[in-house]
This record gives sequence, C-alpha cells and structure tokens, in this order.
Amino acid sequence: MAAGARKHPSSPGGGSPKQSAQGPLWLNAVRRLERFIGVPVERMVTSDAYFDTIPMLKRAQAQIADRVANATDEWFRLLNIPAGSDVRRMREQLSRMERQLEKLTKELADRTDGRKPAARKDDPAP
Amino acid sequence: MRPPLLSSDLVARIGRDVERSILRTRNGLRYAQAMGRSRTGATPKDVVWSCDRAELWRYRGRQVRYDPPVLIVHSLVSRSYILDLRPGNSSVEYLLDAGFDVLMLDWGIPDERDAENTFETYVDYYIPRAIAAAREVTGASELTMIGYCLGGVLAILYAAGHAEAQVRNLILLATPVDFREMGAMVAGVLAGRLDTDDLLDETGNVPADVLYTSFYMQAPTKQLAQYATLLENLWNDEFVDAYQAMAQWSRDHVPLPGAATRQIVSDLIRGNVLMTGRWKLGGRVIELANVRANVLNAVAERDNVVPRAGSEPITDLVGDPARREEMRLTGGHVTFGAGSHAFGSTLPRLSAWIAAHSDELDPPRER
Repeated sequence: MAAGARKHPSSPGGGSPKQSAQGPLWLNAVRRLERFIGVPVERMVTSDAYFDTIPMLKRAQAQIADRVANATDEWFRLLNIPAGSDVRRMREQLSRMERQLEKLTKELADRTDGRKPAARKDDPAP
Repeated sequence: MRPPLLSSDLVARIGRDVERSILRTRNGLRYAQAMGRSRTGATPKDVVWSCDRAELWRYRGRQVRYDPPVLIVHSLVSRSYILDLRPGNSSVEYLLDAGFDVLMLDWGIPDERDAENTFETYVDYYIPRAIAAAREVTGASELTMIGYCLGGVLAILYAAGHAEAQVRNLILLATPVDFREMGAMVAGVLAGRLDTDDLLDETGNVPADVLYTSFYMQAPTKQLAQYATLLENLWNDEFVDAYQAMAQWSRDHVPLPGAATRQIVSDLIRGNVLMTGRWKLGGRVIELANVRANVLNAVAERDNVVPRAGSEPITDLVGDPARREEMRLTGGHVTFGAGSHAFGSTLPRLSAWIAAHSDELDPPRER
C-alpha cells in the first residue's frame, strides 16, 4: 500500500496537538473564557427564537434596500445616470443571454460529437 | 563554592523567550500585512478538461503504482484546495506519493451564468463528460471516485443514475444523506422560516458570504480561542503558515447555484429524499442501491458540519450490501485534508483501503 507515502510534518491550524492541549496558563484561561461565553452563545444561535428573528431581519433589510433604491433611482434618472437597479437588470439580461449561448454551444458540441443533448431537469431519463 | 548567578537552564530559557518574541513580532507583522499568504493548491497539475466554470485537473506525479486512477469530486460550497492545502501538507500530494494517479473535478466559482444549474446539470452533464475525459487522458477503463461533502452526493447520484458508470470504488467523505440530522445548518429552512428566495442574491445564487456566515455562526466565539492559540504559536513559522492556510480556506466559500439550492431545500432538506433511497432526477428515479462499485463511507467522528448521524445511513442505503463498508475516523469535517489526524491516521487508512481495492502495477508506470 502507501509505503512510499511522504511523512507529513505538521497539522494545519492545529500545530502539535500536545502543544495546543497544554499551553501556558493564560492560554488555558482564554480557552475557558471562550467556552464560558461560547456555550450560551451557541445555544442562542441554534434556538427557535434566533431562527424566528433571522428571516424577519433579512426581510426588513431587503425592504429597506428596496426603499433606498427606489428613492435614489429617481435622482439618478433625473441626472441621466444608470441606477443600481438598471445595472442589476442589465446584468440579469446579460446572464440570461450568456446562459442561452452556453446552452446552444453545448447542444452544438453534443451534436458534433454525436451525443444526445445534455439532460435537463424535466427531460425524460437518459 | 558559590552557585552561579544564573543557571545555564535559566539562560537558555531567557534566550529562547527572547528569540520567540522576535519571531512573534516578525510573524505578527507578516500576518497582519498578509505578506506571507499561504501557497494553497500548489501541487503541479494540468487542466485536462473544462466546461463553463468546471475544470478537471490531473496532478503531476512521478510513478503510478495503482490502477484505477482516483477522481475527486469536490463539494459545491467550498474551495477544493482544502485537499491540497499547502506543500508538505496536502492530501493530493499524499495520494500521489502513495502511487495513485490523482484527478480533481473542481467546480470553479459560480456566477450568474450558473444560477440555473440543477443537480441534473452536475450529475448528467458535467460529471459524465469529466469522467470521459479522465478515462481518455489516463487510458483507464474504470475510476475510483471520491466525493467530498456535497460532492459525495453528486458522486452517489452519478454512480447510481448511470448504468454505464465505470466506477470501481466509490469513497464518500463526510457526505450528508440524512439532512434532518444536519442541525443548525439547515434549521432555518427546515421549519420553513427561511425560503430559498430569502437566500439568493441578484445573481440568482446563494452568495458566498451567506454560506460563510452559516458555518461561522455554528461557533461564533471559537475565533477568540483560535487567535489566542495563534498568538502563543506566532514564533513558529510552520504553525503560522498552516494557520493562515486554514483560516484562508474557512473564509473562502463559493456561491451556490440558485436552482441547485431550490432542490437542496425542497427535496434534500424538507423532503429528506435521500433517506428514502431514491430521488427523482432528470425524469427518472435514481435508486441509491443501484451503485455497483465498492462503497466506502468515511465518517468523521467529530464532524460538526455534517454530523455523523447525517452521513452514517449511507452504509445502509448506497450500493450492494455485500460491497459496502464504513470507516470511522477521528477528527472533524476537514480531517480529510487538514488537522492533526489527517496525515497520521485518516489518509493512511484511506489510501490503504483504495490500494486494497485497486490493481498493483508491476512494474509501476512512469508519468
């Protein structure tokens, strides 16, 4: 088997395990402090309350971003400058076009190779 | 006789502390300026196939002692250099040194153009083509396929869903199948509080920082202890380099295509469909038991990303019961590429298993 395998010197992110496990007093104190704070924090971020709050915050953030964009878009347009939403729309259109191009390129390549075109989600089984 | 004013031990200790303080200052400055950025993914390789953002790499090795070649299918959410972290500390390098011909299927960094990529795109389009290219370039008729994390799910689906799949061995590293056991990672979407659309950005993908945050929030204070350990070991170049590489990787996620995310949320997480042993994909039903390869389910005991309970059922679901095995490994989710157990235990055991399920070439083939 792996007789020729090279010896690998150290452990990334961990150093020597003994070194990390023992360490000086201050380091052990920091580790204990971290666990002291960490355990309740971890409990909190896996609680129902946390998972109820996150979607609300995310939606509120999205609403604020939309309102700010709506307000600023008008000013940009008055100055004849493309607004963020215009750039976003153009990026979306460009990606759609690129996806379409990639799809056509693949289909063409498949036909040239004599393969069946790529399977898609709603295609019947190959 | 009077004792010496300073014993030789004390002098040596003071000398060592002074030296370490100097090294700490130097490495601290380097770290702060990110000057000594780690050389990750440095094993020499050739791109032997590419399509859109996906690339198939073949690593350069000196001697191939085993057949079939090993193809690693990486996850969709992280960077593949975790398995080739840095010179002298790389799983790819380990496998090359052990005598395997190693290839890696890397998904690149998805962007707007990948937003409509579904599991079918990977399982029925990219993987079959990458495998055809791997067989062509290596001249092998079969492959040993290693799937890491979500890459393991792709590898199972390919091996089970393609009757023509020439996979002799299928090795699944930290691969989730029971998504109900994935804990905090999926809790937000499992109960329907978050919808897929809440996760997507304007590119139609789940941004990398959302993925980073979901990993980070599993243990938000852990960094405090990690920084303290770094400070203590800042004098040690080797430690700092390893720390930097690992820290870089753990912050370095890639966007997850939106269409694949919809399938993950609706089918894998909410429907927990893999636990039924089948999944309707690409218009046909893929039966996980249809895998004809030797299956090795490598489970990390202390994995907090894909907990043991999330990957253990593979042993009952995937492939022929007579040809499947489970390997329990000490360490966490990254034990396959980094950490104290990777090179002392994980990789020796994995490469021994692959070797035992491969043909030994006599004489070895020069590359």
